[in-house]
Amino acid sequence: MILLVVPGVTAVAASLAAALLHRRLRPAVAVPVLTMLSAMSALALLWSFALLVVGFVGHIAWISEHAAWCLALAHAHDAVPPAAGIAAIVMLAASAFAVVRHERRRLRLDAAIEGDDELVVLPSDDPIAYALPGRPGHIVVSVGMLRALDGAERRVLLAHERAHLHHRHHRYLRVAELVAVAVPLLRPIRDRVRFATERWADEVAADAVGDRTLTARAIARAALATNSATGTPVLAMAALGVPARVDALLDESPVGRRRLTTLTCITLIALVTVTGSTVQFHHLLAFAARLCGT
Amino acid sequence: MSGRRAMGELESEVLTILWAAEDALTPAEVLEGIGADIAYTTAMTVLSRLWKKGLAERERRGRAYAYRPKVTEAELTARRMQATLSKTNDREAALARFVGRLSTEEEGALRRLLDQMDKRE
Repeated sequence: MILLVVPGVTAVAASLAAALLHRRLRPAVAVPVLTMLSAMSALALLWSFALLVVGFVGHIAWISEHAAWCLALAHAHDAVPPAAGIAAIVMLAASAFAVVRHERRRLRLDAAIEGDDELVVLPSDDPIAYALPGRPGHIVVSVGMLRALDGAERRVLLAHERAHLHHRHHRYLRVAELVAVAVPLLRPIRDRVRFATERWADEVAADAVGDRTLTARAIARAALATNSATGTPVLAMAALGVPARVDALLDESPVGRRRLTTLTCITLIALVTVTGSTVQFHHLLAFAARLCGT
Repeated sequence: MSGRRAMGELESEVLTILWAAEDALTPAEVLEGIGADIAYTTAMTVLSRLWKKGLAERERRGRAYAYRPKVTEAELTARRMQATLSKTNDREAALARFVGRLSTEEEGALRRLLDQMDKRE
């Protein structure tokens, strides 16, 4: 029975470990790698639970009579004890419930703004700036934010938000968010994907304006303006917020060599995840074969 | 970068200048604020495009026009949306913000970093 859970748990542990290394990777690499790892390990874990459920339910006498074919799929494994089986059912149900609730509550703002002008200015004194994905996407900025920055800093802001839209960061954020909702254990990865998308946009902006210090200053200014306007600061994840982004822009030490070893690390971890998942997918294949009548 | 896209980006940039200003701006004043290398004629072209699109209004000032930004339908929509956003704590909806909130220590760290950058220049 333990064998059923090992690949899922390994995958989750491996991707959490990978998340710790994210800063050694270029943000443009870290974002897709972490997003993919988190999605794959969530699937592996949920699939582990599903197998536990099959192992448990399949060995209940009256069900096994009617669904012998299903049991055959799991027959290599011992019967799963009721406690584990029921726990797995509860986990799966909780996951499904959380995902459905999250999807229902999700705000759908994509189609809210019409017209294809890139910039939408909010006539508000509160400093606000965000990218609104869509076709086309929009950059929403308040007058308060524009007045908190000088001309060059405003160009940084535009370049940053443009990078979010152009590289479709909302898709990664959406996947990472769904995974975190389905498997709360993976929330740290979502937080790191969020941070890495910001870093990614910062780097693109720094390239666009050709000045890392200016980019760092714009971000710092905007953050301080936002803070003084909104009163009580909310606790942010230490070292994952704006100061870390500013630091990263100002720090130009070469990380090439470290990067290579990290890349190897990440590849290994990815391999572990893939293996973890494939070990289990033969069950899925058997199931599909059965459905297709072969 | 395609010419059309570049024009769109310039329009956004010029619009931010118009919005940040208290008063209507002439092309020369826009050039001063833009922080990028563009020609006077380009500034004029961009401004008159913004005017034609209904994103800005203009008035005569001496021999030139002075432009001020105009609130559009999209901006009214955005304002309504902002009201919805500030009521929700859906963290995903708040995606891709330029900056998030800071803790007290982070605020202190940032002020120190800004000081350092100012000194360096």
